[in-house]
Formats: sequence, structure tokens, C-alpha cells
Amino acid sequence: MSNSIAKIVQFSDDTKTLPDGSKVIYAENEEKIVLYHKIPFEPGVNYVYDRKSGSILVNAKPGDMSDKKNMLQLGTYFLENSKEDDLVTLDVHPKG
Amino acid sequence: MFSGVGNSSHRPVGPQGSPSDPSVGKHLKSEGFSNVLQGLGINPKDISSISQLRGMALEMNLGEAQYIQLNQQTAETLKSMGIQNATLAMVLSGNDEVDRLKKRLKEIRESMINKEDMQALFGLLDLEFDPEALAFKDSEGGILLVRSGLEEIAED
Repeated sequence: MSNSIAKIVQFSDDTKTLPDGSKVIYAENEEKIVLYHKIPFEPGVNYVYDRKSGSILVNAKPGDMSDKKNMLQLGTYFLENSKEDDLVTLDVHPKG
Repeated sequence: MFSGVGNSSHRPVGPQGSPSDPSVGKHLKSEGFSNVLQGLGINPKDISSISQLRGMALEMNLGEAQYIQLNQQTAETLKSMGIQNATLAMVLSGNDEVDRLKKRLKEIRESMINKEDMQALFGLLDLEFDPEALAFKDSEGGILLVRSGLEEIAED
């Protein structure tokens, strides 16, 4: 586990969604925190928070404070509607 | 120090990045999974394996800790220490790591919703911390991980 390059938290059941029908995946490594949000029939939104600079990208474009607020609200919504048994944490290991 | 903390299962991935375990392959094929990897700047081809973690709460910030799968010998050792039915043990080699573990347990305890109730319980038990009361349920680590990340963003 010591050579982990990322940790990803998501519903263990692919069919499970949040109450509004959307899905969220949380991911982090040493440099970034990522929240991916997918609403049915809409394009996914990827929030990428840079842990060092505090900056945020939304679908690879620079975001602002309102995007950071949206990311926090989304993460809170994810937490409020997730039970511990619903989630799985995946540990990603590099080659070599 | 040994501590029964949960379970983990190793999910090997094939040489071309195609996982040998279908359930992990499903993750790699998922649009959301691919997007978060991209967000982290990770090329899926650079991934050798994906482990499904449980008991993450103890693993966080304890990079020097070593987890071992139990065999008969280690199970007997644990049993002699009064620990039974553990599926995974964590080995800590020195006081520094024990201190780090205690610090992490304290952080988790303080983050609990019913903090006052828990503190009252600790007081009644005359314990500095109570691992059982801390309820290291197998998949709770995911929630702690997300909560910690959100707190970090909110503090920025």
C-alpha cells in the first residue's frame, strides 16, 4: 500500500445513485482532490482542486470561488447521502 | 503492536492494463473513473494494480505502518494477546508510529458527531481511547477520506 498513487471513493454498487439520480466519484492524490459529478443525460463535470495552490479547474478550465463552493456542496451532498456500507475505496498502484 | 483493523483484497491488473479481475475492469472502463484519473493526471496505462481497501481510517497518514495478511502463526500470536477473529493485522515497529496512530485515533474521535457522548464513554471506561468505540467499520474509511478532503478545501 505504500506505493499508492491515488485513492478513489465511489459507490460499490454501479447501479446506486444519489437521491437526485446523479453519481459522484471522489479521488485524491498528493497533489489534487477530484470530484466527478454525472447527472443522467448530461455531460459529466470534473472538479479538480490543486492542494498546493488552492486553485480549481472545472472540466480542465480555470474555475473561481463559486466553483469551489459548488464542489464543496456536491461533496457534502455525497457524504450526506452515503452510508459507509455503500462505498468502496480503491487504492491505485503504479507500474514498476 | 498488532491491531485487527479490517480487510483488504488485492486486485491484480494484467500487463496491458487490462485487469484480471472483472470487477476492477469495470471500474477502469467507467467514464467517471477515467475522468477522475485524468483529473489527477494519472495515465491508466501507468497503473499496475488496484487494491480494494477497507479499514482505511487507520491506514491514513500511517505510511510506515505495515499491514500483513494473517496466517496460522500470526493468528495464534494475536490470540495469545487476546485478539481473536482479526482478518488483517497492522505492525508498528516503534514508538513514533504508535504515537502517530494515537494522534490519528484522536483526530478521528474528535471528528465524530456525538463527540460528547463518546468522551463520556471514554471517561467511564477510563481509557485514553477505545478502538472498539471508534468503530473502525470496514468501509468507513471512504467517508473519512472524503470528509477530510472537503475540510481541506473549505479551510483554503
